[in-house]
Amino acid sequence: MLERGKIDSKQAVFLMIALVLPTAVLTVPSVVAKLASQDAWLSVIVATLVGLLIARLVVSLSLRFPGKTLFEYAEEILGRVPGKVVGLLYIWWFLHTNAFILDEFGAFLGITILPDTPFLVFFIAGTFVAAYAVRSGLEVLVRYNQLFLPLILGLLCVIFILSAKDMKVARLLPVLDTGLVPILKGAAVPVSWLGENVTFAMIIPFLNRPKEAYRVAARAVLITGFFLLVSVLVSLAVFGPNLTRAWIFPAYNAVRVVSIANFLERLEAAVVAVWMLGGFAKIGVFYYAAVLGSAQLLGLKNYRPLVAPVGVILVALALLCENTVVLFDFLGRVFPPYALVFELGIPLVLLIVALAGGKGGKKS
Amino acid sequence: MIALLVLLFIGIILFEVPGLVKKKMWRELAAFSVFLAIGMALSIPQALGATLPNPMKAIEALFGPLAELLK
Amino acid sequence: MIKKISVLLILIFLTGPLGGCWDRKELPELAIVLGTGVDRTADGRIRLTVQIARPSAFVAAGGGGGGGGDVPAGLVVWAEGETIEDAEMHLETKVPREVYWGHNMILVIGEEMAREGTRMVTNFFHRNRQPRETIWLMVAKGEAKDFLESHSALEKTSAQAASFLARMKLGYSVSSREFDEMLASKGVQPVATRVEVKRAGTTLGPGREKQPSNQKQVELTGVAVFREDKLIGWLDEHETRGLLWLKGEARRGIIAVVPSPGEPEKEVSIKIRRAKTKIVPQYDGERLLFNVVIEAEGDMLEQQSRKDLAKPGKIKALEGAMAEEIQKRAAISLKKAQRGYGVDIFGFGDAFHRKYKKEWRKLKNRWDREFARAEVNISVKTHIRTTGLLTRQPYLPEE
Repeated sequence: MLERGKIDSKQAVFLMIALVLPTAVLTVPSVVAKLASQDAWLSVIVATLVGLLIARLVVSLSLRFPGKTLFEYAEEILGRVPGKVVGLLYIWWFLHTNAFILDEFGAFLGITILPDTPFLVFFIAGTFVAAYAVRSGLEVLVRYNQLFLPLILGLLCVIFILSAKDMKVARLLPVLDTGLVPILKGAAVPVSWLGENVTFAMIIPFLNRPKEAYRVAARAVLITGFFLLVSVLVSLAVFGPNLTRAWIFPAYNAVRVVSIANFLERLEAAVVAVWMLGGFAKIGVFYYAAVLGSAQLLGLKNYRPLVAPVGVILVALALLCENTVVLFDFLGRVFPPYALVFELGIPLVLLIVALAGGKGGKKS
Repeated sequence: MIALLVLLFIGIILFEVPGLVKKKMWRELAAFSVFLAIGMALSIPQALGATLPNPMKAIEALFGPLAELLK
Repeated sequence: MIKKISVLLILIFLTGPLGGCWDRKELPELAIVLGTGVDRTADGRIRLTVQIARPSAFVAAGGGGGGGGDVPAGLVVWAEGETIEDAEMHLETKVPREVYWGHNMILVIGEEMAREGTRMVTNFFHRNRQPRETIWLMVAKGEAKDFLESHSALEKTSAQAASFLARMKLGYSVSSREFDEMLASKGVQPVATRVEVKRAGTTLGPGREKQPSNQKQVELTGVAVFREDKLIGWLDEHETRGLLWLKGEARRGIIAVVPSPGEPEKEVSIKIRRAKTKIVPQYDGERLLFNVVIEAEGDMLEQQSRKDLAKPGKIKALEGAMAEEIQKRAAISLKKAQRGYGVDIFGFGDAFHRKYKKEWRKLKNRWDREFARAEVNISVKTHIRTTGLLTRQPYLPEE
């Protein structure tokens, strides 16, 4: 066993929230409003439902192979060579997605608070902290997250409530303006983000009560979906659809607007804190999945030696992205189909083959 | 820049390799070397100012038709 | 030992980026902008004027005896350029500190610039991270530079005075984000606060009795009307009152002056406490009708007439007169927007969009024409709650 740590259900819920929420909460409103205008919030509801299905799929698959991660049972289901190929693809996807997360992390900090700092510094800082946590094992990562995630959620609640003064419900009307198609299109991006929960397949074997995995996944997706929904509603109600899609980080701008009695204002530092704390956790989980997966794929006894080289690869990949326009264009257009192959396509194929071949016993 | 990068690689090697050699974990050492080589291949050219092919382009070409649906 | 050395090497590598304070900005190194003005120069360039706070003037009086005094609290600097950012760069060559936009409270656009288009101006303030979305957008009658060069007797600087005036929302105040929202929507055309510099009253003090005063002060004098991002005209203070009623922005503090029942040449003032506006569109494919229902609630706070108005019947009559007055005001603004300017500054289009989403798709690209020929019914429901501390005129003999 490469990982001896065990995590409980509550920690798992927190980890899954951190897996999606930190970067999504700021960028989703703009990306979705581009396609669905004032109906963006309906897109997020649709996306949450699809996210629940994906989470259910991943958990069903994992529970058929107790104690095994995605990389191990892929080989068991598909055979040695095809399984290894799938594993390689997933390593690539974890690394590449993590590079995007680093890019977003750098873009946000570079645009909002540290414009004179080169992005490389954000990449190195983010990767180094995450590397330290990953090298110390799953439990350390999980506890870091357990400490800060409640703070993140609390801060988000507070700042969203404070912006209530500037909201107008009329900005959300009319509902279903241009029919269902834009709403479904708008759902694609949040689905691809919520679908990042597929990474949970690397964590399920380390749950101390694996049977609760269904409930853990459902709860995490619902909480994440709820915060995304609130973020979209706040952005729309403060700015209206036209301005929401013009901003890159509408939720951040919505917080900047908050001014209570000309006294309680300029709260955007709280958003930056959310982004930093959550960003480290999110980078950490994907990092962990890539490193653990690589070790399992190559049959290593210890994944720790891989942490530092993978970190170098991550930073180098993140540096390949030329500018923020390319980044956000990619995330809004190409990322959904690309990610859904890994989030929905491959797990679905694995499950069907496993069912057809009768592989993986259902534990009573 | 390049000097710092070389320093980093030396640091990483000194950090991991002696322990692996002592415990005779050859398989791990091999994996470590491969990953580090990939890391070097990706980072050193960038530090020298070369532009590497971006995998985003290939993925965009692959998923481009599907991506058009999201217009 | 090797392990220690390797950790040391990694740490050395990390100290590079972690020497974090290299781009710190201390407060005394900043030039804090309080207000900004943008003008179009005769040769088609952009002139950026900023009012910068002089920190020493903001030191609390009596705090150690320093500061304060006769030093003006603001400092006005201007520079020209092709774009705002370009002008800012030239500005930096005149100011020995780093220009900091985070506390900018007002953005005043000169008349010429506004006629040319506001998009060239506001983009800078949204794209950059320091200026905030909440700055008040104003259009100066004349030049923005003259406006910023004025002085406020009560506040430290004229920029502060103007922003405090805007915050009170007695006229129509627009933040830059609200302006851009109106600009982005096809169902409403933007308006912005109109500001002017006018002669102020004279305060006499010891040793100043004989001095003639040429003190100037800032005033909010109505709104500027736009088509898209181009200024096309103005509404004066009275017409602005009607705009507030139709936009549902009439807030507390607005006064309705109505003729006294039975004595039409005498006036009664009613202070509005609460108001609500509902726009209900009706469309059958041909005829476009808007029913505007305004509900207002207020207190009677002044009467010029001798009659005892604190009688249920008289209050009823007063409510009727108040409704008529509000209706009249709204109708004047409406007529000016429909016939005079031909732009929907009230957001009727947005209300229409909310109710008729399919029809809107056909009408939205020629909305202003549709709006100009739309029929509008304004009905007003009023309610008077109290008559202040008095019942009737106290110093009159019993009738």
